Formats: sequence, structure tokens, C-alpha cells
Amino acid sequence: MATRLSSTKLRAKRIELDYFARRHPLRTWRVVLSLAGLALPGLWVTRELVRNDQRSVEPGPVSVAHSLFGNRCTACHSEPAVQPTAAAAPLARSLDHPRWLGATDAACRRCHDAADHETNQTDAPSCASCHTEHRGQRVLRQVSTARCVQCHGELEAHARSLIRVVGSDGRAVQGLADGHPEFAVWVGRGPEASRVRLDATPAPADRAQVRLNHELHLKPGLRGPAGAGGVQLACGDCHQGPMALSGVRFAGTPPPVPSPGDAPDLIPAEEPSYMAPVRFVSHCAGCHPNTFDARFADLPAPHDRPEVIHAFLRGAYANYLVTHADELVDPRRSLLGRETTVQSADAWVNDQVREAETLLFRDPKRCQECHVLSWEPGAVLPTVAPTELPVRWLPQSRFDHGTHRLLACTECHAAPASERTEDILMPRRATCQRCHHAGGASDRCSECHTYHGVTGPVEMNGGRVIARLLDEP
Amino acid sequence: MLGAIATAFYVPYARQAPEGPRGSTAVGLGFGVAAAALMAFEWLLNARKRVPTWNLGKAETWLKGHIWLGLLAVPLALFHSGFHLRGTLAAALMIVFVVVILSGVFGLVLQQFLPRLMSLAAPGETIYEQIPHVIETLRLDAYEAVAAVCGALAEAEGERAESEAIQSDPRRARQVLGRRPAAAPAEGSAPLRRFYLETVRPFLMGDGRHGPLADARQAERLAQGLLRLLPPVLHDAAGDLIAIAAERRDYAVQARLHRWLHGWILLHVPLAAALLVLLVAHAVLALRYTY
Repeated sequence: MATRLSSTKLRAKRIELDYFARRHPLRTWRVVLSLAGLALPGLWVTRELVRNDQRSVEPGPVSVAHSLFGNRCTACHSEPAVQPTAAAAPLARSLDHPRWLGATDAACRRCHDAADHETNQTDAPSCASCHTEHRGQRVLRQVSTARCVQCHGELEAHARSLIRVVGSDGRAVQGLADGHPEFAVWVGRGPEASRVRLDATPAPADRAQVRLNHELHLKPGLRGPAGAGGVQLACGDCHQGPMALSGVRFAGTPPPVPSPGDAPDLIPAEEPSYMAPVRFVSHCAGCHPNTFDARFADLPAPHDRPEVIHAFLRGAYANYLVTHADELVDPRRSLLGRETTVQSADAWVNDQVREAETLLFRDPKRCQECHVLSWEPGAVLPTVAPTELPVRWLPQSRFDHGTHRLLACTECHAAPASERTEDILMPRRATCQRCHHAGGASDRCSECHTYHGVTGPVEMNGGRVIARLLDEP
Repeated sequence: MLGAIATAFYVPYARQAPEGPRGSTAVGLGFGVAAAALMAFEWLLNARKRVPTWNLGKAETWLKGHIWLGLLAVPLALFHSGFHLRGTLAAALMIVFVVVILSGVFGLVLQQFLPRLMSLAAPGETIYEQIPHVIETLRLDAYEAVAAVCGALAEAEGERAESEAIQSDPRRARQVLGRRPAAAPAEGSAPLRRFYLETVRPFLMGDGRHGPLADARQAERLAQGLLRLLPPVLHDAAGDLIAIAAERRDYAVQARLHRWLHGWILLHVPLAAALLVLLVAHAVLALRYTY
């Protein structure tokens, strides 16, 4: 039927011989779009660099602690004040103008005066290797357990000299549940202080020179402050953090505001995490007033050194005599029921003070109910044995009572069954592991341990200026 | 094999890395360098096409390398990133990379069956770039086939002028039938004339996808009806018109399939170019601020 179109020759004739030399839309668009593909991202990156806003090229936002620097990357990544890292140093030296801006330890130490971990480490990791930045709103202190295990998993291979670990265990720790030894508490003070594991035999004993029976104090119906009737003490009546100070129920006087001066053994920055030391005026005086004479029912003796108490008593009785001169001729008044013969005002005061001191220092229900007193030969006043109450039982770790406040104290501290001062009521590792285990509360090392040793009080006056930190004009 | 080796390296590394797998660790950086090297190699296929006469190995081998090494770059890039998108630049880089890979895989899949489908659906296949030109000649062929028996058609002024111009140019005349218009319309040619002006010509001037001739079966029915209306002497001319319409349909099918077959390139290549820029920026900035 058709006369023409089956001819392949005709089909071929219809093709322009120079067609390939001409631009075709598909090829043209491919070139145009490819150029755009090169140009657009290049322009974007250039724009970000020119604006000096490198947040888009950073691998993630910085941590909360460093967010004050905003987009001022040079706070950590600067040149040339910061030396290049060891890995980049050779290459940096080979260049006229070093361009390696990795965050170095020197950059960190411009603000962070962190102490070394151990002096006998074979190799100390760089700051950034543990504190990984640009990972968003994380706390840099929360270091991965694997970082610690790198050395503590095989401690002997990473120590140059003697390993300071209690006993023979704790040299291959893979985590709280794997290789972590039982907690070791500090026992004693001064040169005799030593760390003893809670599971040691014999069990470590609290060497504090204060007599206290927790079991007795937690019994119901105790005789409380005058007029209070029977009371039931709870842990929080004596053991309080700074946040709970307003809750003192049986204090004779308002508790003092805590300060580093009141708690010299506490590191100020950590105070909120720990229980404040038990203080006589706040936690004991309500039920155990230092009264010494019915004439001074509202003026208890101070809870202080014997010399101070002695001076207080002399002053109290001397003042009393000014308004009660008739006491000099009243031989019947005697604290211990003995008749006295008054020769003079001074002799009267001496007699009264002696009797009051005898009551306070010799009566087993007064000072000696808690304190250990001793008398040097010929001494009138006793010597009070230092209480040596440990503020931190586990100074190698830290603990935040605040985050555990939902728990009853007795979940961790077996106080209701403790009748002896020697009982150390610190929880054992297994107690912590009830919650802190894989799949439960975090069991990473940094939950309790700090890598950088704390060698002294934290300097609260850093001396740095905000404008300088922010690079403001 | 290479992917399995890379995975064998990655798994223990990811399990033991203290902060998880990261691009800045030695192993992570190694994965990144390997992935970047493969991405750079992918561009060599383009360079290879620029110098087809150089003895650089068979094009088929290059294409296989382009495909398999490109796919190998995927796990390496993921191992480098630790399966995280950290930072705008790195995220943009990874997203562009994934789109490039997906577009390439898409194109690869299309290449597996579309050419065969095209040979079946469009047997009159021609060079894609020449389709508009060939359609133009078809329009002239159709005009000349009709004018040869119906006389010059004033309604198809453009085709008539073009036909006369081509016939006066020997070089171009070879591309068309080269028939002369009849001095007078043949008897009974009116249906053919009307069929051309109302059906064939609009179809040839359109995109080849609309109108009664766009469907082969409907075109066949129209042809049968037309032949019944025409005297036998005009059947050849009518057959030419039907064949021209069929050829136009083929080109429409071919153009559509060709756009599918090669359209992904418009996404694949430009994004690959963008990938290259982002890759360089990422590598330079990451190394600069890490070490």
C-alpha cells in the first residue's frame, strides 16, 4: 500500500549529517544544571565562611557549657596562640602559615584549670578525646565508660609505677558490674588514714570520737524538747542538705546559713550534692540542751571548747551576781546539794563555775554523752577528743543526694539497725547496682567518678571578663 | 567482597569506639577517605567519555566500575558518619550523596528494560535529537503525498511553501519524497484531502499524543473507513498518510521513553557535581578543625 516509508534508506536520508554538532536541550540542560550543581553549594559554603558563621559546617551544636561562645569558633579553634595537635604539628611546621585549627588541650586550659588524673599514666588522652564536643546539648562531663575502660580495663599496662588501688582487685574494671571492686571508705585521719573496702574482714570501723546510737534515736516516743512530748525522729531531722535547712524541727535556735567556712571539708561547688554536717545547735540542742543551772534555764552553755565554756560560765555567774548580791549570804544554794561558805564574790563565782563544770564535764549525760573527754594530770578542764567525723566517706567519687531524694534514706543506709558508732552506714556496690545497671539507671563511670582530681577548693573568682570571652569590643 | 571487608572492619570498631563511631577517629577517617576516593573515581567515567578514542579500557568495564564502586561508597560513607547526620554540611553532603546513588540506581534499572521496550513500542525509532527534524519532513511528506493527487493545498500554506523550497534545493530534496503537486485534483480525492487537513495535519503539528491518530487501533479504523471512501487509485496516497501517522506515533513513544531513559541524568550529574563541591568543603573544613 505505502509507497515510501518502508525504505530504510529514506529514513537515513532524513537525518541531518551535522546533527551531533548542534546543542540539544537535554545536553544543554545537563551542562547548565551541572554548572549550577557546582556553583550553588560552592556559593553557599563561601557565604557561610565569609559571614564567619561556621555553624553550618560544624558537625553539631556545641554543649550547653560552651554555648556562650556562640559562633565564635576561634574561642577553641584559634591560631596561632594554640599550638597544633601532635598529629598535625609536623605538617603545620612544613607550611608557612599553619592552618590546622583542632581544639587543643592548651585551648581548653585557657579556661579550665583541670588537674591531672594520675601522674603515673603511661599516656594521657587529650581533652577532646573524652569530652566530645559538637554533639548537641550534652554534658561534657558525662564521659563514655569505654574511655575509662581503655586504661582501667588493663590498669597495669597503663601505669608507669605503683598502682594506687586498694588491695589486689580493681585492676581490670570493665564497668560497675564487671570488675569494679567493693567501695573503699577512708578510715581515720591524718597519716594513719587508710582506705578499707566495705567487704574487708574485719569490717572497717568508724573511728569518729562521737558516741551515737542511730537505732536509739530512731525509736518512737523519744523525749523531745521541753514541752514537745514524745517525738519520732526521722533521718532528715539531723541529716540535711542546704536546701532542707528550713525544715529543722527541733532546733533551739535558727540554724546558721552554711558556708565554706562552716563546712571546710566540703568543696564549695559540691555542697548542694551532699548532706550538711550534723551540727549541735541545729540538730542536737533541741533535745540535748547544755543547761547547767536552773537559774539559767534559758541560757545553755555554748557548744564549744572547754576554755570557752569556762569563760562563758564565769561571765554568766559574775553577771548574775550583780543583780543577785544576796546569793553571797545564802549558803544553802548549791548545785550538788553541798553547803558552801562564801568568802568573797570571786570565790562565789569560782565555786559556781566549778560546780557547773563538774556537771557539764563529769556527768555522763552531758558532754560525755557524745564526746570523749580526758583530763591531763593536774588539769581542771578536760580535753575533748577531736570528733573526726568524716565529711566524705568516698572521696574518690561523688554523689548527689538531691537526685536520689525520692528514695527513703534507709534504702541505702541501714541506720535503724545500727547501735554502735563504729558502724559504717555507707551502702555497698550491690545497693547501687539495684538501680544502676545496664538497662536501668546509668552505670557509666562518670556518674560517680571524676577523671580530674580535685586537689583543693574551687576558685570561685575566675577573673575572666565576659567581654573578653565573647570577643566584644 | 570489598563491602564485606569494610563491614568486618566496621562492626568491631563501632562496638569498641568509646564515643561511638565517628568520622574523626583513625578508622572513621579511613572510611571517609576511601568513600571520597570512590566518589572522585565516579567522576572519571565522565572524563573517560570525553576522550572516547583513548585506549583506557572498554567503556563497559568503566561503566561496571562506576556502578559497583559507587555502590561500595554507600557503606563506606555510612561507616564514616557512624550512621549519623551531624551538622548541616555533613547532612547536606550525605543527603545529596544518597540522592545521587538513588538516581543512579533508578537509571540503572531503567537501562535494563527501557531499550527493549522502546524497540517494541517504537519500531520506527530514530536519533532522538533528530526527532523534531524528522517530524518536520514527515509533515512535508504528508503534504506532498496528498498534493500529488489533490493538487496544491492552500490551507497548508506553510507545507506548500516549504515543499517548493526543498524541491528547488537538491541537497534537501533527497530527504523527502519530492513529489510534484497535481495540476488538478483526482476524481474522488475530496475525502483524502479532508482527512489530511482535518486529521493528519493537526496530528503531525501536535505532540503526537493527542487526536484520533494517536491511538493505533483508532487510526486503523479511520484508515479502513477512508479507503472505503476512496477510489483504488488513491489508496497508495492514503496508505502513505496512515504510515506517516504511525511513524509520528513511534516518535512520540520514543521521545517519551527517551526522556525516562535519560532524564534521570539531569538529576544524577548535577547533584554529583554538587556532591563533589560539598565533599571538598567537608573534607577541608573537617580536617582543618579537627587536627
